[in-house]
Amino acid sequence: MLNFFRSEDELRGWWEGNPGVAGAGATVADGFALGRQIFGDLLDEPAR
Amino acid sequence: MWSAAQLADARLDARWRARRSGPEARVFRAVLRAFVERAGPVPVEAVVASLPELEAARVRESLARLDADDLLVLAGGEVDVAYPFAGRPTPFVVELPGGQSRFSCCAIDALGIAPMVGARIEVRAPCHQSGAPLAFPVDPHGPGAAAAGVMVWVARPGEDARRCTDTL
Repeated sequence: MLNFFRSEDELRGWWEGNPGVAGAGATVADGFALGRQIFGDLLDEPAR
Repeated sequence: MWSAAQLADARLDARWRARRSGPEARVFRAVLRAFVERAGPVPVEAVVASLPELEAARVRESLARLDADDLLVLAGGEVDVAYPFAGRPTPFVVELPGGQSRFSCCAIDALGIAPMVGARIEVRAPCHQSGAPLAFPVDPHGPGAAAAGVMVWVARPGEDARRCTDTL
């Protein structure tokens, strides 16, 4: 599960009701950095 | 909070590296381009037709390997999912340049589409706690100011989990 939350308070509220879920919260900027790391160059043709 | 580096799951990261350089990389790029160009699941035959320089049997074998590695999901002669894209509706909508909408598999996948296509996109998804609609632009360098305060939850996948189908 990788979801968005409107704010840290919303995330905390959800987590307090789901304490057994393994994972962690991150800012949208850090989430973007991860998305870029995974997908950023997938459409690039390899250098010859 | 975790940093982006800490968020990267080592098990998945090995798959991403293999995807970029392995023998199936060319086929996977063709699948992703098809998802960019058209909405909905991508017929296997359309992938085969887009790679006339490769034997059809080889393309089909590559797709089967990509499916086995959970890099895409094949179902009924179609590619249903090719991360970061989903061929069927999900809560994560990405509006591409020109206004065409696509579905993505999760929050991280939606955020990764802008750098992948090299263009500004719009992400629309509900807050997982309140259900409030969220909408913000993301360009290849990062989310826009409208995303300030937005958070993501990154679950630790189970050992046998298939990413999209197990996390939506």
